[in-house]
Amino acid sequence: MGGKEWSLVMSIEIALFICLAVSAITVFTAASSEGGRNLLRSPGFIRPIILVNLAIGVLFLGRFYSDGLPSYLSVGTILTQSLFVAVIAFGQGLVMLIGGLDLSIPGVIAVSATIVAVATSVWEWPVLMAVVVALIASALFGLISGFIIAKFQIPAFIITLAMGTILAGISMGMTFGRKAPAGPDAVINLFSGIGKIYGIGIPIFIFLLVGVLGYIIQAKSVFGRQAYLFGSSPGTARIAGQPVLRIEILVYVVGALASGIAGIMLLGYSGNAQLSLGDEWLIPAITAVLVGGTVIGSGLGFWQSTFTATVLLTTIIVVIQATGYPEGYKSVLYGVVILLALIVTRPDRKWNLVKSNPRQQVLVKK
Amino acid sequence: MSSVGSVVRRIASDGSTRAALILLVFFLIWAINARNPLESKDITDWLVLALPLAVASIGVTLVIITKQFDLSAAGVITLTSVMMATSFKETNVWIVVILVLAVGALIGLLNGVFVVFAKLPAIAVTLATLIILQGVSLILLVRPGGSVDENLISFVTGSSESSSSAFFPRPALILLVLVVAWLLFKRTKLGIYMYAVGRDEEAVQLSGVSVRKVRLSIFTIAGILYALAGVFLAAAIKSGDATIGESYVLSTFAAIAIGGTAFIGGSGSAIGTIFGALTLMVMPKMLFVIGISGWSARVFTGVLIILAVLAGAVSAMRQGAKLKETTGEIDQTDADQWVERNGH
Repeated sequence: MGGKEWSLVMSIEIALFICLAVSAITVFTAASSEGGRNLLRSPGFIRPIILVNLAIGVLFLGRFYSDGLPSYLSVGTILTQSLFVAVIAFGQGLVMLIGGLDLSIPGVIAVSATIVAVATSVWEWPVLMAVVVALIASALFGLISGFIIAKFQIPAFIITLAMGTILAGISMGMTFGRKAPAGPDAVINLFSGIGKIYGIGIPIFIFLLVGVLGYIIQAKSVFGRQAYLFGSSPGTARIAGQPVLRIEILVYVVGALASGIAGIMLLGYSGNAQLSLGDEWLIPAITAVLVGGTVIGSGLGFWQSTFTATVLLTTIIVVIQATGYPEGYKSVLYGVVILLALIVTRPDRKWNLVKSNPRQQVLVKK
Repeated sequence: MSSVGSVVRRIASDGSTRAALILLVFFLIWAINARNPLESKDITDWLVLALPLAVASIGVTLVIITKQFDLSAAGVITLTSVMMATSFKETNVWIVVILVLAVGALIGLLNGVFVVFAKLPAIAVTLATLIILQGVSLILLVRPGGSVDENLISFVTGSSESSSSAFFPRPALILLVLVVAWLLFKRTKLGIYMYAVGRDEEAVQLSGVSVRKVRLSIFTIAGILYALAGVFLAAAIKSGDATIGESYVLSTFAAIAIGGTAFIGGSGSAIGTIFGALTLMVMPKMLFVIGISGWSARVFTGVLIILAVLAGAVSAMRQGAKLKETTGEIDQTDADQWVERNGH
C-alpha cells in the first residue's frame, strides 16, 4: 500500500514537470519567430501560461508543509474547486469588465440551490424541471438588478448587495426554517466528484468545458464583443449605435445565470442547500478576476487569464489548508493578492507622485 | 404656487427630510404597537446599537461626497472593536482609544494613497482592505470573547448614571455632538472642498486646490470615524467578535441610501445618514411588533434599501435635468437677488 502511494506521488510529480516543460518549450518556440514574439507580448496568451506554472510552483512548495503534496488527490480537489470559482468568476468578470461589482452572488447561489433542493425533495418535481426553474429565477433576479443599475445609473455593488439580502431572505423563507434540504442524487453524483469517467472526476471535465464555453461567449460571441466595447467606453458604444441599455442589463442577467449554475453545482458538491453555500466563493471569484488582469470598468480582461487564475487561487487555498494556519490568514492572503494584482495589472504604470500641471491635464483630456 | 405644494416638493427633493419622515413613521409604528409602553431603557438600547452604525456611515458618507467608495468600514470596525476587547489590557482605556483611532487613521490613509496616488479603483482597494482587516481580526480573536473596560461602557451607554440620564440618553448626546461637529465641518475649507471635488474635480484642480490632498484627508477622517464606530460597538456589545463587522458592509450603505445621499458625489448629508442609521436599527423592532420577522424582515430590508437608492437617484436625475434646463434663469435670479441685496 505504502509503495503504491509512493509511486502515485512520483507520477504526479512527473506529470507536473511535463506541464512545466511543455510551457517552457512553447515560450521558447514562440520567442524564436517574429509572429510568436508578438503573441508572447499579448497578455491573453502569456498570462495563462504564467498563472498555470505559478500554480504548479505553489503546489510543489506545499511539500514543505505536507508530504502528501502534490498528489493526484490534491490536483483533483484543486480542479474540482476551481470549477465553482471559475463559473462564478465568469459572471463576475463580465460585470467587472463593464465597471460593476456583483455582490449578490452568494444570494443567487443560495436561491438557486434552495429552489432545486426544495422542488425535488419537498414538491417532488423532476430534477430537470427544478434546474430549469432555478436558472430562470436566477436570470430574472439578474434582470431586475441589471435594469435598476443600468436605467438609473446606480453603483452596481449597492443594488446587488441589497438584492443579495432579499435573495437570502427568500431562500430562508423557502426552507420554512427547517434544516437545509438535500440535493437530488443526480446533481450530487455530477458535482461531488463521486461520479468518475476513466477514473477522473466528472467536475474536472465540466471545468474544462466551462473554460471553452466561457472563451467562446466572452471573446467570440456578439454579446461578448458588445460587453467589451461597452466596458471600454459606454459613450463610444452608444455612438456606434449599440443598444447600450440592453447590453448592460444582459451582462447582469448572464452574471446571475452563472451564479445560478454555480448554485446548482455547489448543491451537488456539498449535498444540501445551506444558506451560506455561496459565501466562501465570492471573494475567491473576485480575486481570480483581478489576478487574471481584468481592470474594473476598462474593457480590459481575458477569460483565459481569469480561468487559469482560478486554478492558481484554489491551489493556494489547498496548500494553505495543508499548512494548518488559522482561517484568518487565508483572508489576509486574499486581500494582499488583490492589492498586488491591482498594482501589477493597472493600465497606467506609474505612481503619480509628481504634481502635474492641472491646466495641461485638462487640455490633454479635451 | 401653493405653499402646501412647495412644502411637499421640498420634502420629496430633500434627502434628509425624507429620511426623517421615514424614521418618524417607523418609530411611531414601533411605539404604538409595542406590547409594553416604551421605557427610556428601550430607547437607550436602540440608540446604543445605532450609534456605531451612524458614526461609521458618516465616514462612508464623506467618502461618497468626494465621489469615491469605501467598503473597508466594516473591516476597520471589526478590527478596532476586537482590539478594544482584547489588546492592551493594562493600559488606560482612553490611551487605547486614541491608539485605536490612530490605527483607523492609518488604514484610511493607506486606502487614500492606493486610490489617489496609484489611481487604483477605490472599490477594489477597499474590498482588499476589508478582507485583510477581517482576517487580522480573526487571527487576533478566534472565538468571540474578551472584555471591554467598564469606564468606556458607562461613558458610551450612560448606564452607571442615575435618573439624570433617563431624560436624555447618553448615545443621543453623542449623536448631537456629531451633528454639531458636522455642521461646523461643513463650513471649514476642507468641508467646502469636499463637496466641490465631488461635483467638479477639474474646476477644483484649476482653482489651485489639490484634489489629491482633499481626497486623502477625507479617506483619513473616514478611517478615524470607522475606528470610533468600532470603539462604540465594543462598548455596546461589551465584548469582541471578529465576525460582527460583516453586517456593516450592507448596513453602512443602507443607512446612507435611506439617509438620502445620492451615490453620485458632490451631495449628501451626515444628518440624513444619522436618520438612516436610526431607521435601520428601529426597523427590526418595528417589523417585530407588527408581526414580521425572520426571512420576510430580510426581504423588507433589501426592498427598502433599493427603493431608497432609487428615490435618491431619481430626485438627483430630476434636479440635474432641471438645472440644465434653467441654468440661465437661475443665474439671472441670483444676479437679481445680488443687486437687490447690494442696492445697485
